[in-house]
Amino acid sequence: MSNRGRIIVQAYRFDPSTDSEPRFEIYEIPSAEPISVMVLMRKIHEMDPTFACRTSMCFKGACGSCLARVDGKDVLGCSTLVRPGDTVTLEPHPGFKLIRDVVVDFARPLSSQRESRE
Amino acid sequence: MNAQERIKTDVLVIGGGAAGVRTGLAAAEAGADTTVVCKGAVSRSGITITAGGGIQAPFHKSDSEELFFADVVKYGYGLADEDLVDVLVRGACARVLDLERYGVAFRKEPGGSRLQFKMPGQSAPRNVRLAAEGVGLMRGLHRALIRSGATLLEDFAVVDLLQSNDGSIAGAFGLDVRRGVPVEVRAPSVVVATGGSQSLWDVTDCPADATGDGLMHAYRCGAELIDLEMILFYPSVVIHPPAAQGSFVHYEWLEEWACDGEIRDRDGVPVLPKPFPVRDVAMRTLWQAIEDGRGTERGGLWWDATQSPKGYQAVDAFLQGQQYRYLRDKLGVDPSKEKVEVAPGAHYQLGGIRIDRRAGTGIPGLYAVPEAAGNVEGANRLSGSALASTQVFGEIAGREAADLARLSKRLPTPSTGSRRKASDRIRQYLQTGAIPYELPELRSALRRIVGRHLSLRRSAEGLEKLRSELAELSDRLRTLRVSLAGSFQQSLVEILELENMLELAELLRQAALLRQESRGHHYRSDFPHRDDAGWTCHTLLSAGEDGPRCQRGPIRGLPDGKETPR
Repeated sequence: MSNRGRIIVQAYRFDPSTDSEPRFEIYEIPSAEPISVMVLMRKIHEMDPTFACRTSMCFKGACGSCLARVDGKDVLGCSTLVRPGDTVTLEPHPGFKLIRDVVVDFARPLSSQRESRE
Repeated sequence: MNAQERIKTDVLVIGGGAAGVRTGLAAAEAGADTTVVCKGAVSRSGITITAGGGIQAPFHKSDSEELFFADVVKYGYGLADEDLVDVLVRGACARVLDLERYGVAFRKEPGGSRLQFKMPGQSAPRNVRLAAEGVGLMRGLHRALIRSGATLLEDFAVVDLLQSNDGSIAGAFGLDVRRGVPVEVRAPSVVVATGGSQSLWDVTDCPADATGDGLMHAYRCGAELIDLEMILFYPSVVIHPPAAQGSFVHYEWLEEWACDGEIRDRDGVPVLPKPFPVRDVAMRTLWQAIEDGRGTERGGLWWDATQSPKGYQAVDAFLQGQQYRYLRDKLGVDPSKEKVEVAPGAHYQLGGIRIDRRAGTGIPGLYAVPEAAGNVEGANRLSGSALASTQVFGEIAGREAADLARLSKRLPTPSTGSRRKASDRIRQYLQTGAIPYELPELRSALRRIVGRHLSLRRSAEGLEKLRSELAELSDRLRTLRVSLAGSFQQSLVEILELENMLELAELLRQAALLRQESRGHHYRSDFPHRDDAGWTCHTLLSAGEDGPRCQRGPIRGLPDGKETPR
């Protein structure tokens, strides 16, 4: 089966307050054009409101609201493009305490991986 | 769903952008026990981080407070409250110096003085430039707030304000979004610094959280909302490709002195005459071209610097700001090499909560700061006023709120009715196991109809249609249900935002219907001319016994004893 016209996402799901362990959930997001990972996360949330992500952004690749791990690399979601036909793995940025799914607490950086300042 | 936790504080500041954080700093510096709540993450949400980084302040040797005052009043087309403009122009330089003290960097001339740009409508070079734009401003303020000793609660969404039996402010009922826990905050002073409502429009360059919550919180307490019909539209917001939606490109930079390009229609014909007309006229010209069928399939126009006589090198050298580097390097949209598809979009809320010179709302204990507060600029604003207003009025609101808290003998008690109303706002949507799948479609529908009827061309006919369309969406909103289980209650916050947006859209509709003239950013196709005799006045909306009261109000001049600056 062809993947054209959609992006397949393996998304990290974990709510520390209710789940015993993390799992991955597969989403198929229809898209005829390349979109940023920021837009991708919002579209997953719109398809499945229980998937949590931050949706505010600066539109400049500067604020870091959209920090995430995509295919094992730590990226700015707004500055990383995914294309129709792609299959990607989406995880939370590992540098901060996890709140839920890909949402982290930026005020609590984890000691091993401090966020670089500006 | 009653409060499960209680917090007490002297000053509660709602909003974590430039306005809220500056307010919190002022309150903490005045010695008040201060709590700043933000519904997202500070420095990574809200509207400030999208700012290009200009702040109007009359430092330049050819400039003065008098010139600044005259420019703001002139380009507000007669609707600015002069007493507030007076506060703005007198405070701007001092607040820029505060920002430097907080560690915020500005661009400098080679000799070390602050670089200042002269933007359209300014009589002298007046915009100081933030070195790292809106994000740099927020990082500096954020660090200062943490140092100040104020308490910062992120991912905390206010549901409604609380009032005592005598009507004075008693605090707020909110949601700790991360834990899904309802919290009552008791405070004698509350400052609304929640920003604008631009998320109501389908085309905007503001983030999704600009939902106007604070306006509705203040309105429900009895505060007046002023000039809601005045939404500033920016001419050239990117509408395609999807990855770049929400970014904007400066239409001013297609002028001859800059990149020397054109805004073109689908056939490549330039739409704007040169030199470009002023902002509101330029936008109506673009809008009209789209309405006349000259737009692209997606309803846009082409921002085009590719045929500049200055050549690629010169254009590319000019387009080096954060958003241009982002578009070019990250999204593969190079404005120096290819046309960009744009349309006018909602950019700034000129109206808002009516305030006086001390940022007071008329409700004892309730203060508001622009962009959530209105009536500073009028029917249009100059570049650099938005950030300046956050700093000037934030500093005043924080100080005033701290003073009031100090004078308050004891912590106010919210009335039973006020508590129940606030908690009912959440309770009505709760159902175990429910997931609000319909929410994104309702929000999209709302943004489409507001975009259609409340953008650059308004008419009684369109506004009447909008009334029934909003009522239908409100009915559908009431059917949404969500479960309050688990962490990060994003969907519940989105339902509360949508409720605020729907109620605010109806008030905005009434204000736009009342003003039967065209002025600044408000254009009525059925009343296409400015009518100074009839409409040099504000529109005011307040909660009445049987629903909204919509009426006219006078423009305020300078306070007694002050001379009009010339």
